[in-house]
Amino acid sequence: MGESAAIELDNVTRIYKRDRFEIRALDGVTMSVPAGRFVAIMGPSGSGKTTILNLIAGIDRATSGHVSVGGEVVSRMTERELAGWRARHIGLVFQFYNLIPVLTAFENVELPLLLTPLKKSERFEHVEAALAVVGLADRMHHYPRQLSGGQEQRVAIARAIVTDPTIIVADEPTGDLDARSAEEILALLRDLNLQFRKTIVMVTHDQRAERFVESVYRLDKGVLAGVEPARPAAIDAAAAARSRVS
Amino acid sequence: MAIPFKYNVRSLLLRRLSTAITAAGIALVVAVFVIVMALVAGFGGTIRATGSTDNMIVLRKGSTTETGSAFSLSQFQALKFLPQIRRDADGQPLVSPELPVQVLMAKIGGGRENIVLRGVLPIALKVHDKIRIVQGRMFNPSLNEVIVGKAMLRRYANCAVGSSFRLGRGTWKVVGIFDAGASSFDSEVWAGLHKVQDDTQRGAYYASAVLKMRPGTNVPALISRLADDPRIGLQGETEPDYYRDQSVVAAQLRKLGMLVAAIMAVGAIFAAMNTMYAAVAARTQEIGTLRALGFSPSAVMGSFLLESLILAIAAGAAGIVLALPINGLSIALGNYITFSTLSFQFRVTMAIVIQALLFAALMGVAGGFFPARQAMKMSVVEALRRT
Repeated sequence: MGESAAIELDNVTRIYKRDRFEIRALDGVTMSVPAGRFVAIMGPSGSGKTTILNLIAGIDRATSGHVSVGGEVVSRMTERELAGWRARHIGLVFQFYNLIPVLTAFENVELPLLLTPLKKSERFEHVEAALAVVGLADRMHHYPRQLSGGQEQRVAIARAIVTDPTIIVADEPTGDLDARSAEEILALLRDLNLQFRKTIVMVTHDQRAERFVESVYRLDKGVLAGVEPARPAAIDAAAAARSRVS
Repeated sequence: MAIPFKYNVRSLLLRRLSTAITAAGIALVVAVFVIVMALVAGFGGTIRATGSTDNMIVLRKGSTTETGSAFSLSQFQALKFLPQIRRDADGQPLVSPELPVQVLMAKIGGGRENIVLRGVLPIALKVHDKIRIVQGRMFNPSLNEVIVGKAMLRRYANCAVGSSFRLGRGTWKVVGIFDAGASSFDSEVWAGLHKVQDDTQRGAYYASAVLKMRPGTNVPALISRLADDPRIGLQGETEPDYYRDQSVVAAQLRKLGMLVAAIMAVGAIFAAMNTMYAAVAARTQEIGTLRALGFSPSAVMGSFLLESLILAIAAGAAGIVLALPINGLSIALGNYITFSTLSFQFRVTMAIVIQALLFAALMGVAGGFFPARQAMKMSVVEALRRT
């Protein structure tokens, strides 16, 4: 296809130490995700899905092997460099939203922008735009406890996109939602991928996700078992949408 | 950029109970600190205010206080006409021979306390030029008449003008009230020098002489002259130096107060530490999220330290407010240097307020440091895993 890779893992192994035991969460995984794709990483619990996501997001380090994101070798960065890099390039979406409870929706979305040189007025415009994209512009002054689970996840997605990151990583974004909200969130992520050409890597158990993503990376016991194209309908929809956008 | 300030303030407000308990502990410590420092400031200030920079107090060689000093009339006569001594309009040298003695005086509401009855000549009011008679008149030195310091009125019985009280061996009539400018003289009773000598059967001896120096007097030379002149043979010291030495009680009180405050502070620091450790534990996932979003470890540490600091300074301010009513309150304290009771007022000065806030901030930093460091060192992955 000639697409450039947004994410590359080269023979990545991650071993955790728990007391006397070593747990091999990933074992020599090599994979790449082309730029602008919406992909899912699926597999049973303990297969290493979240570990891969953490390595891509730069919040964990590989025991061996290399992780490159957007052409930068993440595994060689210092802790401080990683913090800055994450702020610029990565948008994070968590299963339990991870909104700060004492901050309003607006303030939560503004958090990553505090790490940029933007002025207050510029930050306001960005936050307003991000909340509008997720359909919550009218809830910006609500606290997380005043929002439903689906709305909280939308705020979290607004927070993930507000800095216009290269890559969005989502860890079980529908795991804590009812069926309807889960569908809405998956559709929202797909729209972000199509409209803004964001590379999105999503870890999920949710079989519905296969209808929204372009590829599914299957993991089993820390090993990449295979990469499958998603259902043809999803691919067709993605291609059609891309052609409309371009 | 730092994690926003409102995050810390709102987080503190969210944990109202634990925040309030810790704040109460810190406020209490700060209140004690302010009260002790106000007491020290009032006590020390009263003693230090007693001296005039152009006055010299003369005592027997080797004496550190008037209580332990005595010299004769001939010694006094020899020093009285030294050229360094200023004279009044009538040409009289401004030298005040004095005999302070400790006597028991009845308190309002019962009981008796040692106070200073100071025998002086009328010229004393020219030498101690800060002292003013604010009610009544000066005593007649040949009668059993006294004037009393204004601080006496609040504490001792029969001090009003026209009243009489027993003091020493005699009965004395109050004919005037004097204001000594919040100095220790305000806690004294003054009477005619010779009447006090008679009453105490001391003979023609004095305990001290206070002289007013001419402007530009070479103080060390005068001190040498007083010591070396064989007719005099006394030791001189400027009043500020003399009363600074007397304020040793204030310094000791200060040390004691600081020790008490320090011991209490250790408790408050542990309380703050406990609160902040609980905050870090409860907000582990928030810490992980902030770190994952790109906030640096030092920003996280700074945020938790700031939170502890906000808590401590707010509590410190509350402690100051709690202690503030003590300002201006009168109290009497025994001064073992003079073996008498000194009345003074608590003084909450701006310096004490600043010191109290710094003290509170110190408790906040000490209590918040280790929990904040724990937050900083937390692994992002581990922190995010805790839901």
